[in-house]
Amino acid sequence: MLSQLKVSDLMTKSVISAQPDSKLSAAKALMKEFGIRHLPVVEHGVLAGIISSGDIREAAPSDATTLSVWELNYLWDKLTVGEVMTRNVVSVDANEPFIDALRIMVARKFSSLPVVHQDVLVGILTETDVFHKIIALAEAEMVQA
Amino acid sequence: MLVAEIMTSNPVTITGNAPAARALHIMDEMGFHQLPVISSSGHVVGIVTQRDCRQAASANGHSHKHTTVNTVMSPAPIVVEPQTPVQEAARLMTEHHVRCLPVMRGETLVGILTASDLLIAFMRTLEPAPGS
Repeated sequence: MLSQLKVSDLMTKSVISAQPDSKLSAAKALMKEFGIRHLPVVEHGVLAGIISSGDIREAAPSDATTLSVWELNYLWDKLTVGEVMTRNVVSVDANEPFIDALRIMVARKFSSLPVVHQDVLVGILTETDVFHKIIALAEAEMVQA
Repeated sequence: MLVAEIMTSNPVTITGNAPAARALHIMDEMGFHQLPVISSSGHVVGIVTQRDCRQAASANGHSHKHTTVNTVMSPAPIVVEPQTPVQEAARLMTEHHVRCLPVMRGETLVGILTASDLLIAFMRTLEPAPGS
């Protein structure tokens, strides 16, 4: 039954994450490498926050400053994920009904939600995961028909 | 289910020669993440996102106000027809890493389909019908 789908049935299990003491430049490189816009931040296995590409862009020193390239690079190199991340991150439990997670994504306009189980990060639920389900269900229907 | 049933009809558009700052202002005001871009002859020529405009602003600093939509948009967007099944639209968004598809009937822009539209439609199919 579709209404009995759980978050764990759809989520991406191999989630790429950062640590609070990771350099902002390293987080940016990770996002670029994997083509993602959000990185859950994990401290000792527990979800501590989330950082988006927008957060990183806003934290970057503005080109309109009078600082030299060296000074800019020095400032940039000192920034860590923990200083810029959003701390009060909305997450869902892997065992929660999928429909509840989807309602949160729609109401809050989130394109992804970190998934936890007993505070430990176990996955991420993204729009793409939902689209894959829509496609799979349509294909299954065609096979039945 | 077809795209026509869940798309936003008569979308707000912007012309390619408009300033990117104006596109960003419209999106902020109206709560949109992207706008279809049309040429002076009324053809859809691209999609511009909040992200495109913000990136241009942070990259160009003070000269941002002279940046036009044309130079920051993604040209030649993937489009769908109103009669396209929603799962096909979902497949196109996933494969091409886009969150918005202009809906075209022939040469005419009749709507826009966003990732949010798809999520909302799927949510409604999962929710029990009222009174059941």
